[in-house]
Amino acid sequence: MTVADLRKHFPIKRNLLGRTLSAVQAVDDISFQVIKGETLGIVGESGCGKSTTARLLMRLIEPDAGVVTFDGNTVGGAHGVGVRDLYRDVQMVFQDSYASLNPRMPISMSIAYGPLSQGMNRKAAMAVAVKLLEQVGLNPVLYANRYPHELSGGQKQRVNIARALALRPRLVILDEAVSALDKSIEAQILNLLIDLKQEYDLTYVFISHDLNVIRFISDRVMVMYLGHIVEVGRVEDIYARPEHPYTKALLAAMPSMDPRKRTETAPITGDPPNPIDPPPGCRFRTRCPHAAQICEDRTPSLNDGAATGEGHLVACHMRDRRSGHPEARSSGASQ
Amino acid sequence: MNRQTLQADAPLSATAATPLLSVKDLAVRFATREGVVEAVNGVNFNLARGEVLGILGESGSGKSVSLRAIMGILPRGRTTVTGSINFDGHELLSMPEKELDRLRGPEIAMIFQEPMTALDPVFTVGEQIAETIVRHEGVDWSTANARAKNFLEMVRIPSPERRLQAYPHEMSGGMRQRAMIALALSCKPKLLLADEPTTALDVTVQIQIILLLRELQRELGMAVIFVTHDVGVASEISDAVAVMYGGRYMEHGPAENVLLAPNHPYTHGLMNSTVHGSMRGQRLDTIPGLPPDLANLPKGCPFAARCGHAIPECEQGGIALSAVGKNHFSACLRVEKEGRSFFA
Repeated sequence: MTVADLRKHFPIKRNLLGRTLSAVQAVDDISFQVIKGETLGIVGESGCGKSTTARLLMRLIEPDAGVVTFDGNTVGGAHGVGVRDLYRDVQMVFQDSYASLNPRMPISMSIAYGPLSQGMNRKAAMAVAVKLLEQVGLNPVLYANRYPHELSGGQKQRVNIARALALRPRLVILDEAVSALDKSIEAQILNLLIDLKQEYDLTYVFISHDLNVIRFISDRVMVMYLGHIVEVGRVEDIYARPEHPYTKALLAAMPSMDPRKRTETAPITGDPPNPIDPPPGCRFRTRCPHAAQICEDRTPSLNDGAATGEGHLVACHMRDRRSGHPEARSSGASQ
Repeated sequence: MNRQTLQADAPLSATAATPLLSVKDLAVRFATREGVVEAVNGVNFNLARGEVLGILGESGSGKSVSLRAIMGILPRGRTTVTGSINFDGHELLSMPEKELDRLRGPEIAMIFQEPMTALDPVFTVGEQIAETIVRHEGVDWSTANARAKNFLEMVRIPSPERRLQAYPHEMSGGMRQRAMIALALSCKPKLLLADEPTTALDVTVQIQIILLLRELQRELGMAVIFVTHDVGVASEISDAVAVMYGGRYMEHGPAENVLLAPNHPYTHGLMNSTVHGSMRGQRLDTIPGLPPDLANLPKGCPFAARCGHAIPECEQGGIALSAVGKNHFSACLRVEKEGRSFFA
């Protein structure tokens, strides 16, 4: 899946003529790729646009601009792949496991619903549901006819995963799918997701605010801040050699697991700014210790921060020695 | 070791003459339509003056309910609280509501996960802090207003003068949390009860609040009980850590010992199933099954059904904390019987 210049602004105030006066710039001209077979982790704080990105990929909301291509075919538009066809290949699991299930439907029916709606006969669809229940660790004999309210949070999330897989998708978008679960249950679900990925040859887009979980499950990581991608690269590179000041701050803010090595100073101060009418230029500059005039004048793009190593991209003027940033330095891999 | 000896040698209070808070056999039951929910089942601990205790547990472990029992804010009528909570010489459970009101605020204060529900939306932050100071210390309003400004400065709220005039909804999540801390500390309590105050915050804001609480705790010399489900947060803030499960303390001791060298099988399982560091590519060592139903608790160890080390006696009852090291206690029958940890 390839995403080019995707944009979504939510207008919140209009004038008399219906022109937008101010808008939440949830996702602002982002471009990235999801490579077949990988797990792409998307991480960032509240308001960074990670969930809006997920909804745009699924076409749950229409983008204002930009093109999403799945397996060579453009999604949406007059000549593109329709949503119905898209859902055969791309499915999503949400954070709220209860709200995602129809409370008046036994869970086996919820799982069979997708295949039925795509024209599979009832018997075959129910057989798919039974097999999937087994694969997500719920005994079909005990659970097939239960309703969502009879299940725990972890069990409901297993059902949601089974339902997402019922159409044999190739890409599954997991939006904070383990965030509401207790740690002991979260670990069970993470193991399950890894098993299913192998078994069904899946590609994951895994969205989370939890830096530990992202590190555990991702092959590549994309860090977002206020609707922009600030850094993307292989998980080892991002965690061992973060380049963007925001990524560095984010990683340094993770609580220490060792009471003998506690955090002494907060890496950055203040709260993430409001995504309504964000500052021009680099959006992180209001909290960045390295901010300079150039950061206000020009928005750094992922290409400006030249690739450092294999596909490690950084949107920071400091990474581009021609930017004019006083702390700019040439990186070994540039040009 | 039985409970009598435990009281004489309670965790981390050996140096302090008398503990600030002494909780004995605390039990909380809720009557519901589905039956009696046994939320807390015999919690015992002492808290020294100036000590920070982190209570770590998953949902339904009884950690928040224990905190609310100490504060005396559980809904009356359908709740039964038994045992003893002794705070600085006062027995809180038998104290009339009016006297409790005199303690809550000046002596014991509480902060919550969601400041929006703890702050009054129709008054400015300044009015709320000043009102607390006027009510409890009897000073006049102008003195109280000046003090309120000092408190906002203390919790590092930028331009405090202007923020005093702000309503809670005009502030960001991190600022609201700071305002609530200022409100809670406005009478310099001896004990601060913190119920997951950083859980709803972003990670870069969370660390700022943790560092702020640590600094204020040292400055004011107050004791803190900090409830969290996050091992990292507990590790950042606690002197001592207690791990709760099924309404009981499973393990209690110095943070280093409990988190880095856990003794109890549940603590060990919790640490292993918490993703951290470079565990990528590994299979997570999970705890099988689900937490117990609090309306239908087993007689013995609540963790026995999920424990890889359980023996038949674990289900018989009589599970109590016993010493496994200096100020370190574990409620595991096998550790007690065999005198060793499984994970050394």
